[in-house]
Amino acid sequence: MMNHLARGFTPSSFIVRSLVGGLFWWIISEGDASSWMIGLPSVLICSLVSLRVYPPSPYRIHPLGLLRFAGYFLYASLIAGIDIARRTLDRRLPVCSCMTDFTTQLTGLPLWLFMITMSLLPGTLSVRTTQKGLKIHCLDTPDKIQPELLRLENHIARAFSLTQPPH
Amino acid sequence: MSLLAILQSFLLIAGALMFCIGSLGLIRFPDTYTRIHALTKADNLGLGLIVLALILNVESVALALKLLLIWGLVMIASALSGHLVAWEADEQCIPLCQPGETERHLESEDE
Repeated sequence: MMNHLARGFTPSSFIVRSLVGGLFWWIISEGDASSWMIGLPSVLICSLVSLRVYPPSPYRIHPLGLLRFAGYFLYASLIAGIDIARRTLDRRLPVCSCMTDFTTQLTGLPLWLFMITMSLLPGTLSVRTTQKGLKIHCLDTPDKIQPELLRLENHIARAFSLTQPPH
Repeated sequence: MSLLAILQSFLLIAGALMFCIGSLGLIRFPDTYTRIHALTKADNLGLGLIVLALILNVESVALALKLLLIWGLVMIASALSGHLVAWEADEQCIPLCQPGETERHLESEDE
C-alpha cells in the first residue's frame, strides 16, 4: 500500500506543491490565521494525492517566458472579446464557420495549455487532438488564423523552455 | 464622484455589457461551434473587466489575489467546457452552418 502511494513522490516536488497549495489556502481564507488548523492538513493531504494522481512532469517552466506569455495572453484575450463584440453587433454578422488542422509538436502539459488558451484567443476554438496535431474551429478563413496559432505555439514553447518547434 | 468611482463604474458597465453581448451572440450566431466562440471569449473579457473594477478599491492583497484566482479558474472552466462541447458536437457530426443558413439537422429532428 505504501509503495503504491509513494509512486512519483520526491521530497522537492512535495515541498513545491505544498507551498503552492499553502498559497492557495492563504488566498482563499484571505489570510485568516485561525483557518490554518484545517488548512495545513488539507494542503498536505492534497499535495500527496496530487502527486499520486498527477506525477511530477519533466517540463521546466521558464519564468521570463511565462511572464511574456501571460502578457501576450491578456492582450490577445482583450482583442478576442472586442473582436467577438464587433462580429455580434454587426448587422451582416461577419462570421465564417470552418474547420482547419494545425500540426504541432507540443505534447502533454504544453499541449493542454495550448488548447485551453487557444479557445480564449480571437477566432479559434480547439475541437480535438488528431494524430498530427489539432482540429480547430475558426471564425475566419484558416490562412488568417495560422500565423496567430504559430505565435501562440512559440510563446508556449518558450514558457516551457522547449526548443523552437520546427516550422 | 471621485475619479476612482467613475473608472470603476465604467469598467463594471463595460463588463456587464460584454456578458450581454456574449448572450446576444449565443442567439445570433449560426451553429454550435460559433456560439461557443461567442460565449467563452465575451464572458472571459466581461469577467476580467468586473474583477479589475473590484480590485481597484480592495484593501487586502489576499482579497485582490482571490478575485484574480476566481477569474483564472473561471477562465479555465469556460475554455475547458467550450472545448468539451465542441468535441461532443464534432463527435456527433453536427454540420457547420454559415450565417443565413438554417440548421438542417435540427429541422429533420422536428418532423
